[in-house]
Amino acid sequence: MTSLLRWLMGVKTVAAYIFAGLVCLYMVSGPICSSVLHQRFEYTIPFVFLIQGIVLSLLIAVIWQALLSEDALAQGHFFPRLIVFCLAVMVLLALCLLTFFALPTDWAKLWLMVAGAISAGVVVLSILAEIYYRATGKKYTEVLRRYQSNLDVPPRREE
Amino acid sequence: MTVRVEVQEGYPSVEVIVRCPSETPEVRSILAAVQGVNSRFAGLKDGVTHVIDWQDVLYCESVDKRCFIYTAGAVYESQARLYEIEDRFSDVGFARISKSEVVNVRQITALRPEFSRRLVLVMANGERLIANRNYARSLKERLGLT
Repeated sequence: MTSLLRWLMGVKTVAAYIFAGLVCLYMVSGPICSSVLHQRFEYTIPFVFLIQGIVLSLLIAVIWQALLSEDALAQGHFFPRLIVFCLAVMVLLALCLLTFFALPTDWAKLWLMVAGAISAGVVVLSILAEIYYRATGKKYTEVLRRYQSNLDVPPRREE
Repeated sequence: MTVRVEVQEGYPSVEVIVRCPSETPEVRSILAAVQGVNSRFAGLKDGVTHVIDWQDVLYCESVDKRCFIYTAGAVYESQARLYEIEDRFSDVGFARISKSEVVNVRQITALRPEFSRRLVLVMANGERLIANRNYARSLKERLGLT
């Protein structure tokens, strides 16, 4: 029960960060988009956006907590988990944008292209980092073996 | 092999000196036996106190001010404090890897760097432990990795 509560508190904390980020992003991107599209920006957030933001934050936080946190359900190396996290969040965002927000086709295409490019970048960088860490790990393990073999000889006391 | 014991009041502590022409397996076993004295843990399991050889210990963990000793097959509770274990056994290869864990370096089978400058330690029983950033740095220095 305690571990479940700790896990849920982790979800809540991450969700709060993401929600704050979403609100900031909306308030910053809103004026920029309105100036580009020559529309008026009211500097207010519609109530339905807040609800959607909370739901989205909670969903992303659950994925984060399950894959990347210290209490992650998925064990194993970090970068494969990062790839899965990135792809899961991109799919989730795509579904939300296409269903809740019903983006116009052009915008949806653009968003999917950008999201796809970011996902591909994360995947490529993660694979490269994984290869690097594996090679470094082998080197570290060899040094560890040498250290252990030296430990097997008891230290000599000088007279 | 000649064994000679000198008893004199002026000596500050017990000192063992081994004089030998070369370091043979016999000499090593003598040294290991001498160093093995007073280097065992007393661990409580199911109400029974067990004597645990430090070489069998994988790692020690402090949880809620209680210290637990992990071996390949069992977990024991110890009266010793984590810092005491670290001080007492650092010469034979025990190292701190986090605020609450001291690991027996001899029982690590593989090392791997991880994101955020942490180190993943794969233990002899397959368990994976994480050395936090600061402790990972000191462990790397100790192993000669920096």
